Amino acid sequence: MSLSQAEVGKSMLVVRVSCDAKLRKHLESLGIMTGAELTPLSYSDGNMIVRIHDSRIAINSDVANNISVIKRSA
Amino acid sequence: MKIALIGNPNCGKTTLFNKLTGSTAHVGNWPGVTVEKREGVYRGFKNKGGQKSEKIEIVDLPGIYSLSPYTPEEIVSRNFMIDERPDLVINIVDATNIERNLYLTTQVLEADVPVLIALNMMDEVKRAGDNIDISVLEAGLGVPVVPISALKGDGVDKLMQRAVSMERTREGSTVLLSALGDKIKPALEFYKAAEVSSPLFHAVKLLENDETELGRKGAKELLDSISNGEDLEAAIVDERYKYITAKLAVAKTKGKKHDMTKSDKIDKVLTHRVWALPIFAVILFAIFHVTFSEDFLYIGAWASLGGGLPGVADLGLSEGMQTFVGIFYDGAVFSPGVILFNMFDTLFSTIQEAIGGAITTEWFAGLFADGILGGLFAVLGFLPQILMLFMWFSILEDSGYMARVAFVLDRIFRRFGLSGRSFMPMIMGFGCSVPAMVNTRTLADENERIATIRVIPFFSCGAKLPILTAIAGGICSFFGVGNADLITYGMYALGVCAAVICVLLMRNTTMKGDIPPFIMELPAYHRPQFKNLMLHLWDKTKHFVKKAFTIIFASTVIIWLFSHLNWSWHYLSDEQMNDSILASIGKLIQPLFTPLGFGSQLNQYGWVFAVAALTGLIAKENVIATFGTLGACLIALGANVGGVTSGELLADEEGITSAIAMITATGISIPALISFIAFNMLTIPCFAACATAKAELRKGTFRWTLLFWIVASYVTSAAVYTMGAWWWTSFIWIAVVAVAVALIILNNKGKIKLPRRKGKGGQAA
Repeated sequence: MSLSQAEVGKSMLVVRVSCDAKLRKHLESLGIMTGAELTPLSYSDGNMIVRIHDSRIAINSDVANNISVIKRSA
Repeated sequence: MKIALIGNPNCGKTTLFNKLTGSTAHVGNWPGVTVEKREGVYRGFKNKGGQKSEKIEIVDLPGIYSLSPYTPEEIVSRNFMIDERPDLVINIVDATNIERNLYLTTQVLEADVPVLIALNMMDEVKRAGDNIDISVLEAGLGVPVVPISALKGDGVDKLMQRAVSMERTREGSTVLLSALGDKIKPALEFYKAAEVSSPLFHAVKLLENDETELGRKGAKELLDSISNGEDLEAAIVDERYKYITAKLAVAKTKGKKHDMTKSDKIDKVLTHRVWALPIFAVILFAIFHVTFSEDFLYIGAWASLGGGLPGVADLGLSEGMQTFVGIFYDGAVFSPGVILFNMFDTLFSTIQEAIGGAITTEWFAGLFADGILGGLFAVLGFLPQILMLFMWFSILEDSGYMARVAFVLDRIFRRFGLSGRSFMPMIMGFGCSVPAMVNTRTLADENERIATIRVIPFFSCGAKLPILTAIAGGICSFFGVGNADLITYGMYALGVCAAVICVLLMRNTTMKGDIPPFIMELPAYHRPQFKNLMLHLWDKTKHFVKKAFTIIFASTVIIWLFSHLNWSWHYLSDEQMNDSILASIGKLIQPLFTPLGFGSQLNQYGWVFAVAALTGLIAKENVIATFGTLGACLIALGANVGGVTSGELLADEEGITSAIAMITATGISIPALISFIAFNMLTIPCFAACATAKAELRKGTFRWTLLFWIVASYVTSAAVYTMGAWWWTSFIWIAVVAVAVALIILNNKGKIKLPRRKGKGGQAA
């Protein structure tokens, strides 16, 4: 599913990031990449805040829509 | 010895820089405060032992997440490290978030420079009950690591002792060697043969598909042969994080599990889906209310529902007491901002009165008391309010709230064609346009950046604040209408509205472009640092006072001289002002302002407004300084200025009284006065802001920007004036706007074809 549909507070695993190379590199440097774990903290109209490693990153809906995640098996 | 500070945004680089050099560079709690490199000299070893030690230069670089730059300011950091080759790089790593911070470190290590790691915010890690094993990090990175707290200064001396004792050369190393060594090797040979510095760094960047590396002759072919269709870039990222997780992150041991931090809890409220915007609106209103209101908490308004509170003159106090009480109260309690303003003002008028009375030579008393002091004090009186407004914004910024507002506003900004990122430079514009324009470097899209730079002056800066309050105050006391704070808020709102409309217009016509995605790290909330805040305010005060005693001082002298000399250089008394050089220049340009309400329709002294607007091009404070200088002359004319006497000018609120004198002498109307404020707010900003805009804008866009400012201010002021003076003209304006909007929409949909001109400035409606 897309990250924008993920449940708040549940740990997710990124399976795919589909966007242009420049943005992908930027997301990678923030730790958002295939294989990374993140947790949605809150939503507001599609824009959202996620926790990754020990930081909070705010992203808008376009970016969130292009990140595919699956629920992390415990 | 030259040391560069490098690290992620908001990891404490500038705090460390300030600690090391004793400077007071701007520190804020959001990513992207520093957008330019900044140099200073280490001051630590001087006092010790007396022996002469080597001079150590410290360079603070903009924060970056990786050495593959995303926004313009990040390029500065990469180029400095690779091309200028500092003797040492101190990589600041935020210990509360080592995984992400070390990603940059793994890239920094690939350059041929000595690297020292400063593990910052160790105090916070310990407070959370966690620990970091330094020896594990050192073993994994192969460079020394020193734990510090830049804020408290812990470990900073040790860091510098370590820094000076380090070897001055180091060959780059990479954490990718074991996994991707065979791929890196041919690229490394290629760069070694080309004899570039830091060959390993360039080799790895080539494998990462870096644009600048691919530009090198033969590089693309080499990359194709090495990669053989494989996605090396993804493999490299993966390896870096794998190495960090396996070898480095293990250094951190978590004491207890923390699910919800304090920041998360605060965010639940402040970034709430529904309440975030109303909360921001209330905070904004509270800030303006505390700074400007002459009826604090609306106590006076509440009381007037009953019998009302007595005015200060009705209290039956002695004259001295009345002045004193009048600082705090007059039928309503003043807000703290207004109280401070009144205190300053009473002080200044007392000084001015004493000096004016002591000088007996007529022309000198005129020049000194009316010209210089009248002008300077009219401006200086507003310093408390400027500082107070600045202080509130600094507190919000330092707490980490502003980054949240940028996020919350993003979805609204998107409708106007901007990303929430551009909120930061805009809100900085309320302080001063110059740093605000420089800060637009954090915006990724060039056209978004140009549009933002152009509207930054519309966010009324500290220097324009006196124009707003003085004229608003003048309107209220002279015409006995309205409420001065409402006019002030209204003008701030008008500026913001004009900015929104102009951005919308530009992004749909000349400055089209994709809205870059919004990605922003939200810092942890923290209590604003008192010392940091005081340093900010002190810097602002110094800047303001320096400006007052240089540019504004010189301007008032020139204004006074030109208003008291005629073309044959003879001294004129105040009464003969209309024959002066200044008057003839003013009368020459005056007709230009007729559609705005402060042109030819005014009487013989009407040129003073034209002159004031013109002097504002040098520094916006000059507008009110000119009011002060010319107002004093007008009052001296006596007869024309109705109630205001010279004594009153000296004894009462300087800027406002001058404004009243100008209103009386020229017969200007309320709509024209509002239009005058609007014009000064929106038109070409001061010299300093223009120079900054020119430097920041791409070549060739600056002249269009100047035109944009002229058109935007002229059209807006004309609209304000005509609609205020003749209400039915509103229909004409609405019709014009409707036609313009329709044309733009049709053109963008391809239904009609408007003539296209490259780089057109855009018009405001």
